[in-house]
Amino acid sequence: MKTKFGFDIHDNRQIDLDLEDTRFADEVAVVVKSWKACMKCGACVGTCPVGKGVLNLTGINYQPALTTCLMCGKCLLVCPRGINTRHLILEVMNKYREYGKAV
Amino acid sequence: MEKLFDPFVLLFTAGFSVTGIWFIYKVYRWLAGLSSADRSLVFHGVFSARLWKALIETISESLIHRKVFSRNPRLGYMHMSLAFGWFMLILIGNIESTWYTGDLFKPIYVSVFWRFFDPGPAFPRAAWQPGFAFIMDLFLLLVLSGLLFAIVKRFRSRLVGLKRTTRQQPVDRLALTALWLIFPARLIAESMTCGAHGTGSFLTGTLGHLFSFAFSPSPLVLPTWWFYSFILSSFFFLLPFTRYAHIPSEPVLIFLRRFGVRVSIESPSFTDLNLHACSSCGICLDACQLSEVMPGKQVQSNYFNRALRNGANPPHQWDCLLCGRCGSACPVGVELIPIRQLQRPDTGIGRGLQLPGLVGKNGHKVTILYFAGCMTHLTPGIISSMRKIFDQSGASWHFFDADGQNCCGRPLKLAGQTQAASELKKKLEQDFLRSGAGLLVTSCPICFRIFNEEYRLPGMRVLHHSQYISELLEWKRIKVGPSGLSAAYHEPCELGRGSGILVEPGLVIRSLFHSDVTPSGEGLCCGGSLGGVALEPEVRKAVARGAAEQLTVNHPDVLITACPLCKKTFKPVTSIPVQDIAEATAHYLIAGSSMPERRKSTKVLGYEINK
Repeated sequence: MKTKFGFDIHDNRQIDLDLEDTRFADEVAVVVKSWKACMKCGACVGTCPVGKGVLNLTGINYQPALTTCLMCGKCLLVCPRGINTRHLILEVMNKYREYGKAV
Repeated sequence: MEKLFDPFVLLFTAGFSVTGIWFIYKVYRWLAGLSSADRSLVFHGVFSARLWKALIETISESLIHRKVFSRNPRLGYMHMSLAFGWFMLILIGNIESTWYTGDLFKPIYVSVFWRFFDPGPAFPRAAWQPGFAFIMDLFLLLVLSGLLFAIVKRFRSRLVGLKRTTRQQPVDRLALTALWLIFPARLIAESMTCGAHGTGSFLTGTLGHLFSFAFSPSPLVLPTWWFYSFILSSFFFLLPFTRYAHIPSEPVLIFLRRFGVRVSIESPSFTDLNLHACSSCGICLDACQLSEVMPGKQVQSNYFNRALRNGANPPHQWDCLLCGRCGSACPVGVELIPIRQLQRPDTGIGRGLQLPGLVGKNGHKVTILYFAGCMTHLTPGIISSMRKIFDQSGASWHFFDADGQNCCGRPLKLAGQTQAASELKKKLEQDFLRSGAGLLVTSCPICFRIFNEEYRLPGMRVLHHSQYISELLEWKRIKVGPSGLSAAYHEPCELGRGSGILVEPGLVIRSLFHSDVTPSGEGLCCGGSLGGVALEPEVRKAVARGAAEQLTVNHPDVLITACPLCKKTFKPVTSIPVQDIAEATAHYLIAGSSMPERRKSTKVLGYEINK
């Protein structure tokens, strides 16, 4: 099971749809519907108390850092799109556990 | 009294045996499943005064239903008449049969069907004479009147003070029908016997007398007793598998709770006992604000308990906001919130964290640590107000989480991540103690609760800022001018109901505003609680709107709260300005009221450096 949200971006900023695999994202979105509303503004990343890069829900390679989430919910409070980020993180972790891929 | 037996008693005996054997097995399981620490609590509790306190509580709660009475007298009467009335019928029936047989160790059915074996004194002479027949009729009347209330409640619950009533599962309905039929069946059976023998008191005697006018009751005596035995038997057959399991379970819960046993992961059987003691009475339905915004969804604790008891996955497990209103309303005292929290699985989030640590202020020891909390960093007005208050009071304080990168661990715990929460706790405990402070002030009730309940901080007091401000005012370290405005107070769930901090916020608000605010511990949920995980923001907003409407019903000039999360949640849903208690205090501070010469002292307000 590939665990990427959306597509990958190369160094030359070219979007590479060959690497796109939204299956995991779609599965999570079944449970947390509001996740689809993300416009990648970065407010959640900015407010995260654990530090930069933990809550990189917008891009790739977010998962190892997610395990250090404090569940404090600040990202939920600042999200302009009303995404239930706390539920999203928990659901991603649950899915990992289900697939035996806990990081 | 030739022989005290008839085949119809076998039906009852079979049903009663099922319940009896089930109950003995369950009590064994409940005790065997306790952790060794809890078992020793029980052992020591049995030989202490707590045993008698438990006995008194059993009488006042399981029989009289005092707490239900205080909520609504009609509802209390319904529960009391059924429980107490039935208990007295059993007790006095037993005394009566023992009185006449002189045998204390007779089979149970002898006293249950006593009127069949001994029709009693002659009617109408016995009708108004105090005696066993009269007392038994009196209590039967009490139970029947309660039954009337119960039937009304099923169809018009508002008349007995409940907006909503539990939606029963089929097996519960079956048992309910049996329970409702028990007492009319008893009345008919006893009246037939009394009618056939010309005996009985005011209820059974009169009815029997009327029967004998219309027809000959003698041939109907046995069939009615068979019916009564059948109904009793069905009820007892069903009892272990229905909500009526609470009847024998509740006293066990009361005793173990009085001995000090609490819901914990180490004693899973105590959770099971709590679940069985839940009577599904439905009082938690009206306490829950989600009943309004998610109608028809079975979010509430009685459904949660029922699902767990049936071994099913509890419905809406992540929707609950853990505000605790159901827990404080529960007349049985089932530990609803701890049970819910234990059901949230640990997925391993937040382990192995590397948080920036803290050592004093440039290595200097401080007397007061200020922990704003991560939410407070989103509402910096509270932080700047606290700065002003600290400086005005002349305290030597240090802003512990000025970088906003610390967390108390409670949000993790509410999301089920107990392991990570305890790791975080250990780390923060060390940092707090290393600072040498004698006092820890926090602006966030969520942090306050876990600091207060779970952190081990010897020599360090933990205060919420509302308590701290109240002490400053009391010791005249700061002065506030009256605002001349009116205010309503929203009591944060973690502060009021969760931690029992009720007096101090009331004192502060009364010194600032001319409103007579007295927090009660029954505060509403703002909808922003971190206990809710799956609840979508729109539903949260609906909860907030409902709460804000109730709070501002008297049109106050300002809505005061004591939690950054409540402040943030209420702001978009009400036109009345929302302020934290610290902001209001800072706003009406009278400058120069503190004593500047003591500003450099390390002994401020009696909080000394903790060595």
